[in-house]
Amino acid sequence: MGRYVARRLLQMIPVFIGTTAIIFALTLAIGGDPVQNLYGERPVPDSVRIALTQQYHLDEPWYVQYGYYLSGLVQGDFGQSLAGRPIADMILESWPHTVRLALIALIVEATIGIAAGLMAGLKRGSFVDNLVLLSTLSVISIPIFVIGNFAQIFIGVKWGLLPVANVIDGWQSYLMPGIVLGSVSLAYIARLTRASVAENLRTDYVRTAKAKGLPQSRIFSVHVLRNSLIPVVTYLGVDIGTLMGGAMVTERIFNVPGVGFNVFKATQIEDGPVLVGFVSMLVLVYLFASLLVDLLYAVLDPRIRYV
Amino acid sequence: MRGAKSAKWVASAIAVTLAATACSSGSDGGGDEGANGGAISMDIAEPKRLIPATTTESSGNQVLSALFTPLVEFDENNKPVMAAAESIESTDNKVWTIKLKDATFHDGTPVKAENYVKAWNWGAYGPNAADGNYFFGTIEGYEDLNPQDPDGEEGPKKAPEPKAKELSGLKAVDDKTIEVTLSDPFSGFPSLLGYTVFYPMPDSAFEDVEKYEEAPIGQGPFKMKGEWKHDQLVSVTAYEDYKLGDKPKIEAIDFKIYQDQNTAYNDLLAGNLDVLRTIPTEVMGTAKSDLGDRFKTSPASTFQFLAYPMYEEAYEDKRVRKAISMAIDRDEIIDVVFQGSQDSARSFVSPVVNGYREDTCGEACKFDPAAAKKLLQEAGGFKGDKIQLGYNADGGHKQWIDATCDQIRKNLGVECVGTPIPKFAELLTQVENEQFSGAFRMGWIMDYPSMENYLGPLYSTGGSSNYYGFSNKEFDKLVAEGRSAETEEEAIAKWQQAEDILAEEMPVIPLRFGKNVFGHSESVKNVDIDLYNNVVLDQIEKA
Repeated sequence: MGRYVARRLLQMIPVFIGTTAIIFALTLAIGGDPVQNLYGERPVPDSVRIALTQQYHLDEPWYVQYGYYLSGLVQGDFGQSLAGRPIADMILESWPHTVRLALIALIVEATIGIAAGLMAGLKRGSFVDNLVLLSTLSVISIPIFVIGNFAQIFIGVKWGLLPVANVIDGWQSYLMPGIVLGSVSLAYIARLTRASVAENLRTDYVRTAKAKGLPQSRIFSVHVLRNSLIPVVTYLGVDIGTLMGGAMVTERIFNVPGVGFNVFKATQIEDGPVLVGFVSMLVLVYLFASLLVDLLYAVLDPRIRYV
Repeated sequence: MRGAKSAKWVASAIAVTLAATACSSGSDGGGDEGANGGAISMDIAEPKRLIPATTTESSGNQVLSALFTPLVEFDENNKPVMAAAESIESTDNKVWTIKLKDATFHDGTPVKAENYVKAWNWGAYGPNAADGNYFFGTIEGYEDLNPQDPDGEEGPKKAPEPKAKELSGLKAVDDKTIEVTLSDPFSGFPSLLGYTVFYPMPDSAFEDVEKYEEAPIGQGPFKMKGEWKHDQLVSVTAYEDYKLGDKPKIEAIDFKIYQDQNTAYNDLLAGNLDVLRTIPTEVMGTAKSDLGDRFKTSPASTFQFLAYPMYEEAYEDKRVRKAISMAIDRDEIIDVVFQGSQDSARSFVSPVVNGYREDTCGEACKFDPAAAKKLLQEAGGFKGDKIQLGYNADGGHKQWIDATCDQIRKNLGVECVGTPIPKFAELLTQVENEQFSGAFRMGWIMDYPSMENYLGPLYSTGGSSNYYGFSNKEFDKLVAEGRSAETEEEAIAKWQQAEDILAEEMPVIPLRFGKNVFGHSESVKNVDIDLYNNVVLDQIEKA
């Protein structure tokens, strides 16, 4: 187990270097003019252009810039954004917002999603099953910005139930974006759980358990639920990464100054160092989340061993 | 059992994550959440920087306008009136003497002439990469601080180190007197001093400029409350010892930082925001009924136009340039696309500056399809295969560009297409390299209230925003003569003559003058926005 974890951790190094190098190359391949982008529609003074070009090595090929970036990273320096802010500060400040958001989303999607899926799976063809199928279908088919805007206008503006935007308003202001963010995954999880439960109910070991006369509750919790959760846990694990980075649209609508928003902004102004900094962190989150999922497998299914 | 062991491992990992989040939420949600009785809130976007010399965008400007008082302010007629300056005088328009009023910085130290000199030198020094760097270009010695790259920015040679760190034309005579020597006489210099980049900075700022930026210290009516919370909030509160003017009628301002104007608008409707400085175009149709008399407009200095590629053969004949302009119905586009939120432009300078005359563009800006067709025929028709209108796709310009093209197609009988280019920067690069073969959109916001600010940078040979390469010796001469004229009247006369040359040559098509379109909540009154898109902070009140 220890060796397995160590090996997985070591594997992260080349993955990390590979992904960040690709991002770096891609950012610079766009071939835009980050200095002008920083200035919007105003002319850039020559002296400013010269100073920024030298400071960020913008006139060098991407691998040289990447070299500077890596050597800084080794010394614990994430570099500066084009506007002159330390990227480490930006990451530290935006991370808690996104973690809070993702946590709410994760709780919402896991509890409601699994519960709805179980009910639908155990009583297939019933009213509850149809209701779950119909509602998840509609959630999946509506783009997230539509759901977000509707929620904002009705729940926030018209009914005044929750804060419209996140500007230092405390934890309540994370609720609406968190639920919106979780809604799409919630639908997927409900459907995944339903299919998985339905399948497991038909398996040989459940029939055997029934034949042995085990109580319903034990059959359900140990044999059906446990095995049904394996694909769901896999999905949840991957979703952690998606929630962290994919919250771009939601964070923008609800004004959450998190990771997604920073990635969005950096993409817009082609701020290479910031983009790479944030995406590197996202890569790490993905890697750790998938490690977590693999370890959770062992809890759910002891047959899975690590060597 | 392996399973149980890893379960523990996982559980502790989750516990650590939860603890980490809990910690950060504790330290973040501090008690200073605008609980101030007399505080109002106002929307801004995340400022780029908060150092005077390097703040040229509207959000940073708005914040600094609370923290600082400029040397001059402007009256209703846009004439400069003394604010932080006691007097600004010159006998030859070249050497200017600025006397300062008594004032203190928010940290208690007195404001000295030296504070201005140091701040301006910092801004003018090339390697500091201040956005407002070019504003100091009128002062003697500027070139020594900003050497040109010998072989252009693409070349291999690095730009040489600047020869000097201080402007030779700038000195503090005593604690209260600054003497500025310009490289050329400029009668409009006092107006220039109203701009953000000419604020002073206290001595402590220069020890660590980046740290200063997190909580800028000024000499204005408000001081920072805490630090700049990036992407969230800048809070300021009234400064008790303010001496440079009337004290504000509100106790504090929370500048809330929004990423999206639509979100800010929804927050205004929900009652969480007091002042929204720009109502997004998307909701313009419903905003009037949503807000009633809290929906406001005021004049702004923006000028939107289409520029011709002066290097393209198809646009060489000025009759062609005029014909296209005459085929455009400006008023219809403003009504339909902009819901009346802008004014049509038929002059090359904005109505907000002294010396503005209506309809200087004359016939060429009058909507007259028949005359337009005739003029184009006289010129031998359009020589290219189609007229292109270039625009940046990220700025919400598609609608009006397409409408303009429809009009050109219908009224002139020439094929016209809107050509989106992802970013404005790319459009400008293409134009500068003479790769773009169509007309393209441009916009201008005034830096200081003067006709010259609309003429010089945009049309003089080598002007900082003259991307399309218009060049006319007579025009250059008149603009320069206006700058060095002894009185404002003389200057305006010269600049008006220069404007007439533009009407004759038509290097661009004037389209629209902007308006500030803003709104506020029921808990504030006397809300107004000035020409620089800043909320007027000394008159706003709690309702």
